[in-house]
Amino acid sequence: MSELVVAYRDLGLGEPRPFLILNVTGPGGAKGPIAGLIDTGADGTVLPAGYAPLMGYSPADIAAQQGAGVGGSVTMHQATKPSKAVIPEIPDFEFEINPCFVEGCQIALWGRKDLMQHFDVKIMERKKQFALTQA
Amino acid sequence: MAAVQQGPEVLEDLTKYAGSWVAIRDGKVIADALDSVELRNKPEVHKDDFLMPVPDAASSAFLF
Repeated sequence: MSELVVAYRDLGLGEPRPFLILNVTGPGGAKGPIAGLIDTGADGTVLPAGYAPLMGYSPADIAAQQGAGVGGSVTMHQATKPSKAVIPEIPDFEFEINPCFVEGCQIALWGRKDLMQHFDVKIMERKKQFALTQA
Repeated sequence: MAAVQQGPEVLEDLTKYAGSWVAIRDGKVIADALDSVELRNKPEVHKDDFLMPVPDAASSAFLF
């Protein structure tokens, strides 16, 4: 497939950044868009903890584990059931994400194990754009 | 030419909602709350509104 080039956007947060909106369907069928930053430094999908109930995750669907962030050690709540995600511009390709929910995390991060297993990512900081190519 | 991605746009400055969750419709904030579930359960929030957290220091540098 051809490359999808996406302009940075600020989403009301003051500065254009590499935000990608995914349409996400949780394990119980709850659907909604989530805007996250492309983050090659994150092992997988990291979401603010408040997304867990919105996506239909119950405490039984989540396992606590330790992780490391910029600020040091953090307790992460790893989903034990996957969600589904779709890039709106590529509606016929659905992929699984296995989010980690983190208290205190305030921005969704699309890391390597989920999005980047399916799409090669190119950051073009000088143009304020990024590109996704389906792997 | 870069595509402007489909999906919700935010036309308001969200910095005044720092630390809260907001519900966006047609680019505008229609409700806010400190908790995502509290926000979702507000009567003015529709099922297809765009819900997002606003970082505490939304206008500052992001370090991840």
